[in-house]
Amino acid sequence: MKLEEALAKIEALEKEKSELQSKLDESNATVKDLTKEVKGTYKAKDKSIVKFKKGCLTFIHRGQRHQSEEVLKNAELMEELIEMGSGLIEFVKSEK
Amino acid sequence: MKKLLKICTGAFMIALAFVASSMVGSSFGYDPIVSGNVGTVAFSFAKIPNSSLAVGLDLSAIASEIELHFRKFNQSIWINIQKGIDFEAYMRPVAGVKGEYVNTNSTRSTFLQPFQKQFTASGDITFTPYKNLARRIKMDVLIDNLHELFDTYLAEMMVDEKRTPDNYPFMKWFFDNHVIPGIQEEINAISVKGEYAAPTPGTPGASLESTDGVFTIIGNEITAGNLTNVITTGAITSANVVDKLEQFHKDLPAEWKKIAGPIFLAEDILEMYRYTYRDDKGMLPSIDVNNPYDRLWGTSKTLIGLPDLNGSQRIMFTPIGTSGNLLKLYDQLVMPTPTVQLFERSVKILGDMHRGYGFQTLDAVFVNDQA
Repeated sequence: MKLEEALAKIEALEKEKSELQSKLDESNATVKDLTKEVKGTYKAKDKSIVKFKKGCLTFIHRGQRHQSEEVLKNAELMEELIEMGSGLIEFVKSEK
Repeated sequence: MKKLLKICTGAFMIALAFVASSMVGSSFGYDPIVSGNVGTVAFSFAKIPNSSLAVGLDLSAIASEIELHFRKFNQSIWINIQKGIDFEAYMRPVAGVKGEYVNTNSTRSTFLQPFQKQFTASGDITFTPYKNLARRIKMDVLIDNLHELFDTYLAEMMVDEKRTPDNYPFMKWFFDNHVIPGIQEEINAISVKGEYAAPTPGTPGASLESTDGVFTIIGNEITAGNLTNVITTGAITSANVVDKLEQFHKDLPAEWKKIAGPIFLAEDILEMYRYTYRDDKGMLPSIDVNNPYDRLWGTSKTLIGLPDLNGSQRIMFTPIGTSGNLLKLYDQLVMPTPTVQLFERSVKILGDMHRGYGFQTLDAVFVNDQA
């Protein structure tokens, strides 16, 4: 193989490597992003549907630390958060 | 004293004119007294121009005067600027930062365990790097409207022929009324709610886009899932503000309740607290005239209202002081002396500095759930 051919091959491989790396970075960022989402929603008594905002995985309420994913199953606490206008949750569908 | 000195200088100049012209006169064979008198009269009629201001503004003199003023008073200008920057006063200064400032957040599990003769490993420390950023900020001022200044009352001061450029009152006015309060106002706003945005090449970015402020960082870190000490207060109204602020303090972990320090909140929420408290309890929360801080009554916390946070219901507590958690990042406290250039009919002032805000660790930051 001539030197020019070798250099051209190296350049092509470098380009391919950088393309693959950027794809990998993108998918890593998506995976990392997904881990910051609280899965699930809560259907309130008034039929509104709420979910926790991105990044709000855990919080402190009345001196106790709560995990948001668990709280979605706790109707009493969810109603309290809606009633107080907590900034941790957002309406997916509002009946108000 | 100044007047006396002026009279003495005048008398000395007349005497000098008399002696010099009498010497010249006598060397040509004239009477020294007559030639001395003639020389003195000629001197008194002679006019020495001291500036070109009689016909307008001398831009090159202004440019060099601004630069001279910066060089001479840069330190005191910056000391005056620092005095008026309220929020930064609570931050721990970290000097020499020009880009990233990385801290290590560490958490540990328990170390102790009941005895047994085998080695049973228990207890570990987790290290997580936490990155703060000090961004490069610049000041590019173009003073291209000096002719407007010439048309104002300031012209009276400017066109006084007796003033040499180093005595223009313009410089002190320019710095006291514009440079110092302008930078103070902008850094105050940036430190609270600045939100960095990379500028479009060739177009100046907005002042608030210079770097991220503390409350922008808080919002970003919550969304990124990194700031987890979020206490639920819900929406704050004048009816519930006393209860909500007390609830915020009650919900702090026990070890943090003991630590004295300020709770930062919007100035309008603080006012709401002050007057609702007065209406409810018949007195203001701060009754100590020697310590006029607003206290969260019954706690070791003070309430610091930030006017630039008005409109937001965010509340934050984090330790401050010399070993505090709230950081101000910069390269040099005093901005390097700006460069002043005369360009066509304008004067340009160029200056660069580094500024950033952040936290040593997010584990010691407590905020409420309102944006």
